[in-house]
Amino acid sequence: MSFELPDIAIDVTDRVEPFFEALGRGVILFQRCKACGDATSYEFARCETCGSDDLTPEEASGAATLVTWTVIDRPTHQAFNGLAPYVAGYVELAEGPWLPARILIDRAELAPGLPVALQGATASNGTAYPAFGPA
Amino acid sequence: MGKVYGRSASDFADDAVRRAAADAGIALSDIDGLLVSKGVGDSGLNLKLRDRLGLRELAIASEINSFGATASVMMGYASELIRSGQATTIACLFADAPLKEGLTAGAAYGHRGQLAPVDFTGVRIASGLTSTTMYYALAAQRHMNKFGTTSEQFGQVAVSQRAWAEKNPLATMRKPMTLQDHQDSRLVADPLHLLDCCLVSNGGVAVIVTSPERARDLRQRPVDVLGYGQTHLSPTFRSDSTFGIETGAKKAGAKALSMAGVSAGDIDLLELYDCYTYTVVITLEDYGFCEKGEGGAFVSDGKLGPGGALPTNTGGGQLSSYYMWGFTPLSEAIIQARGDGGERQVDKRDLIMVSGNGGILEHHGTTILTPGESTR
Repeated sequence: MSFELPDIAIDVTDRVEPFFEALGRGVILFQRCKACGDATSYEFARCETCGSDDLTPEEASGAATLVTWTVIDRPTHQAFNGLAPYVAGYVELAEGPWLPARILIDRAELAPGLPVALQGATASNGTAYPAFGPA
Repeated sequence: MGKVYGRSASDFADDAVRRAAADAGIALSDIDGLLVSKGVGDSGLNLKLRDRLGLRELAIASEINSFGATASVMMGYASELIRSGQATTIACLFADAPLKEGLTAGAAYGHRGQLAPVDFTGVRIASGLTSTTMYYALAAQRHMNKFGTTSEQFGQVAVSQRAWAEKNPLATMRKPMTLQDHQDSRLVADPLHLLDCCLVSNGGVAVIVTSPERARDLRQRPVDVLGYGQTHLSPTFRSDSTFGIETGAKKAGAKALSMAGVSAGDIDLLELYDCYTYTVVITLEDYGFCEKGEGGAFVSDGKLGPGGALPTNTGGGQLSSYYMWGFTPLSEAIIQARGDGGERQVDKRDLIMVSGNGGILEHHGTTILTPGESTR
């Protein structure tokens, strides 16, 4: 299993800049809707429940579990050549929102609901992005 | 269809419409509507096709794109347009030419990794989620996590469909397949093996839609459109998500069944969109052929295959015959309804349910067909 990171730069736009900045400090942010109170991932500009864009950043506790995953033996993106097999998947924060993430866990250990913890990953231009290992 | 090289999507489309018109016994000039679906391989196909066909005046002409759901979606639109009198004879078609000689199917279709790595798209790419198959793998794995569905159960879908493909002279893959062959095929994106994945094909299909009155007098036995429905559903991305668990098939199927005035139990044969084996399993559940979560067990006795209780994807589907998006299941339904299935013809075919699925389980269309009355 490869835990190496690919050589990919991630460009960040203003709306989601707080998420990536916090991640660089080891903090996961999600958005709380001021209108209905529900939680939504930073991936979306509007509340997934009511559609409001009046969202406020909130720090996640860091507790998270594995929802689903795929193990890739043959990469389709050239930046992953030599990095296979690797795991990518969806992680669920205790507060509800999901994150797409690189999963730094061996194939045999993967299980639904497995507790996972943030491990820093950094893109080639310095942008922090979510990778999770065993909790 | 299949590994046919040296022809463009427009070439295939031109050929398909001409052949469909000849088959129906109409002149090209009888066509007054053109609905075009193009794949993502060869973007050259567009409404200029009308010039090649010599159709200088059309009442209806549009490109329609609901991805893999397009064929079923088109059948609904075409039916409505004819019913309302906006057009009398509509050619619906799909054509694409993604395959290039010497390139692998993956190279022909691997677009997702080319998205600009900005914001969460960047996170997804840097995390290694760089193909459509990987996203379907996430969906299939969630189904397995939640319901205990197994790779062998997915494999049984592939095996049943290959058995149908053996009887289809146009199918690309006709060599017999065992469940062990499926299990031994390489993992493209775990849990999906190579034999869980559809083919990539060059080719074209055209379907002519007209009024029941007109169809009765034409050369072929007509096929009646009894019902249709579409639903476009994007699940939330958080703990309440139905990703991988339920799709728009549930509502689209119910709408089409209700319009036709029948229930799932009345359906004789199914032509289901099969980009992956998993897609067939979740569609069977959403349509109500079995309980939610029991799709894997439902298919595991081979009931989808030749001689089975629920004949499904009787031409081999996109897994084994040809990848023409929703026009693969739609065209096979028409072949079966007309009784033109040859060695693979299913006897009981009064009600045929057709599905289309597009995006990452985001778009769904359903069509219900029945053999129509002919005066000839």
